[in-house]
Amino acid sequence: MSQIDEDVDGQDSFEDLSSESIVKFESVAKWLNSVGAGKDISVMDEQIKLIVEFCNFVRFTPDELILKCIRTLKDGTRAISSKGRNQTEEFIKSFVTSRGKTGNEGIIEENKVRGFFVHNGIFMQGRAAIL
Amino acid sequence: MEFKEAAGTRRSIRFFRPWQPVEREKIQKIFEAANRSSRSMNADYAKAIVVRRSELPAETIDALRNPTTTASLDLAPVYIFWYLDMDYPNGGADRLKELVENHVLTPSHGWSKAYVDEFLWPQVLKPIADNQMATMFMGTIEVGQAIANALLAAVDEGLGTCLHAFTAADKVKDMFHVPDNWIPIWLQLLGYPAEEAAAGGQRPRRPLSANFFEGSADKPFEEDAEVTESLKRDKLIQDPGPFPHREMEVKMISRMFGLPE
Repeated sequence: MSQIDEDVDGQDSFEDLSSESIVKFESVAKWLNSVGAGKDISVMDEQIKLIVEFCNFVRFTPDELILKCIRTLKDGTRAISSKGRNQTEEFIKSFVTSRGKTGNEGIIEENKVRGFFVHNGIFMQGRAAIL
Repeated sequence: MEFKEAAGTRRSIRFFRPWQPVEREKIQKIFEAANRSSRSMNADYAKAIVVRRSELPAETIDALRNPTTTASLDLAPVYIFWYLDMDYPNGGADRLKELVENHVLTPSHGWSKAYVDEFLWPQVLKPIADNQMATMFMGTIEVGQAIANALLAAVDEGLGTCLHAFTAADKVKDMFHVPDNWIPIWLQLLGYPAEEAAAGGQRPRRPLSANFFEGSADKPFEEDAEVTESLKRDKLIQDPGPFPHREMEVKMISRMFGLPE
């Protein structure tokens, strides 16, 4: 169980993901296709592993995490949820902090996680590693 | 740089060299270009405050961050905060009469001091000044003209620049002693580009015929091919993006700054 389970309403029923199981999620496929790794995902091994660990830390599937950042308006159109995106930012920071990454190292790792959200259409920007 | 090349080279730069400061003389040139912008009533619509990132407390930079402007704030060494001074109509009649005296506004076109005092000011300009929506509408256009000059001047000085949403104006209002009547318009980021000046090539634009018309709105303006070619030679029209190496350029710069790829 992660340190932030109680704080972030993580799911008790969540089962830890692996590099093999995570690629079956739609949001992961969308991410890999968008970065041009759709045919040869081995080039993304490190990043996939990072997202696996992130999901296992916050105890949400990748698809659930993307959905958290989206809200449906009255007319049925979808919009980015500020609340969901802010929560996601907190997830990312907590995750990276839990791994003992600080300074530029932390910024770089945060941005690697953000890349997954960005390629799923969730506009977010992290800091640049110029410390 | 000639005007056409500056206009053709201008594009939004999002990767800056954070380590390279911008010379103060270049800021002055940018401000002078803005100060020379076209404006009605010869009024001072635009106000701007230039600040160097290195002089700002970290918490102030953090306060300015939003989901669309975070990495750029770390990379750009100079921030220019643009405002609209809502009191711009004040003194309008005097400025117009000055232009009458200087033979800028002339009787040949109907201008006189009496017209300004007895008709233009009370019947046209004063009502606009008293109407906040009209004042805002007119003012934002005129500030935009000043900013457009500033953008081109920055390009002319070999700098990269980009406008960003100025969403945390309240966070810097006290720090910069911003008067209550100044309305935030844009945050202009400025610095030497970390990407090539072409930034991957000229952005796609629709042909003139899509936006410009001759005689009536249903008669698209037809380009003269020879003129188009001359504009390519003058660099107003440049090679379109994306350049073949653009994807790799962005990837490498992103990696250098630890940004998402």
